[in-house]
Amino acid sequence: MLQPIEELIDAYVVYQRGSPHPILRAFRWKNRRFDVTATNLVHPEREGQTLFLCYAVSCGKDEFRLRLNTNRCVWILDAIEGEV
Amino acid sequence: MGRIILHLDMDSYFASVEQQASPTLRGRAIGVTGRPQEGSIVVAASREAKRHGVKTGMPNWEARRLCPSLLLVPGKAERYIATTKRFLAILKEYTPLLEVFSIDEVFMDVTQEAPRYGGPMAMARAIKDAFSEGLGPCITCTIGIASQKAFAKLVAKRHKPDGIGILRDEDLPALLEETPVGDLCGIGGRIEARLARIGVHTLAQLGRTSGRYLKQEFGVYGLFLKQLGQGRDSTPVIPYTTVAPVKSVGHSKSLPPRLRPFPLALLVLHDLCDRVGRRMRKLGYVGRTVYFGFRLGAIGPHHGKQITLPFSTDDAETIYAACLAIQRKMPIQPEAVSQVGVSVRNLSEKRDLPEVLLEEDRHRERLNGAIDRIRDRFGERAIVSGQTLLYEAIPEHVGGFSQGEEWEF
Repeated sequence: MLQPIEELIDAYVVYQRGSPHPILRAFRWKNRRFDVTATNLVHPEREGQTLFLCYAVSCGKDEFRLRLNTNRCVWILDAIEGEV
Repeated sequence: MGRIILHLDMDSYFASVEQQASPTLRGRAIGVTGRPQEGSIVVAASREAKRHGVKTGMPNWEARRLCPSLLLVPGKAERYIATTKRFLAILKEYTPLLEVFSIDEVFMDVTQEAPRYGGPMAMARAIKDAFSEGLGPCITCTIGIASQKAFAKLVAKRHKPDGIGILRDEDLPALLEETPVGDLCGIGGRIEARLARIGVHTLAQLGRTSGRYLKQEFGVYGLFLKQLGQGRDSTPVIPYTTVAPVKSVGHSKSLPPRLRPFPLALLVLHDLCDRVGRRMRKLGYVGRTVYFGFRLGAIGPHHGKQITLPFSTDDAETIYAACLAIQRKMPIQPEAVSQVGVSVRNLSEKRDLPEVLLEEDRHRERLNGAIDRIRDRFGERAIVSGQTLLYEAIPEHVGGFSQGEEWEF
């Protein structure tokens, strides 16, 4: 069951040649660092002129939904699966 | 084999994408649905759910009865559209002769390219490997190979899931003898029943039926049916670069029980008219014929009627007023409906029409232009009518998979 969070977070990202989107390596939330072990799916969503890149990632056994606001270059933790 | 046609069909598509996005869903019986909590339907079932008999289009309650452990997952159209764009980008590397048949089905004419890959089977395997790498392990496809589109699709259907099937020309006569007519795309339940009444059950029997009789029964389509029965389908693969003309613009919604009283359904209809007008203006079309339809009760009959206006329009309020005029003319005055739909037909390009003369119409155009600019900048729900706010206050979700964006591949 996904729990909504909707908080701005710090993200560690790599812009890699040939990749269709920035690669999220890790992020920091509640003073904890979460290393991304798998990027399961990335899809774009548009809200007016603002393009969001939506990430579904795993950090070990935990799952997270994050969003990159490409206009403002900010990362938002949208939701988490289970209790982290 | 003359032409080499591949038909690529994604396996349990929406469910596979959800399982790819969320590892906790993998290996579980899931059903993708519009509204998990309400009277919606399963639009895609995972392989695990299919093993319990859950099928596409089944009401949620029935799916849960068949598979009590079924997990209903709300669908997210953007994910599926993005994944489709991604797999089409992969396929374009193989051939430009690519026909997008639906969100999860593609035809490819690889007559020129297949030899370079060591034949169609090797090419199909290469495509599957590229999918596994580019889309993730959960999103798989089945590929049917034949010299004709209809039979490539049939072969794919018989090798699901995650398979590759090939029909060689020498095996076609045997396939025609054993295949029920209803298995072929283009022969639906009604045609199948009409054919059964004259003793035609298999494709080979269809091929031996008199062409004159089939034309008399089914019109020109009867001759096409006879050709299919003889194993001949010359339909070309229409490349994705070919832009089909827009014939109509419409939206419909299945309603949850609490929105079924007709006055509430009209609020949803108003929202649908707003979306139709917005899409028409984006596409640059205006239309004269407005169709309004609804379904009575939960599984009742569908009623619909159209009127042709004396002028062309792309204005939501005008379309809504036309729907109300249609409804007043209908013999049935419904108390509750489970679905409403509106479409505008008889389209022409707006740039071909003279400018509007009346000040009231010009005011309307300026207003629509301003609304469009606000939505372009801040999103589709940044400005809505008061009526829509009233109806949005009632449900959390209404509707299935209407695209928020136009499809461009």
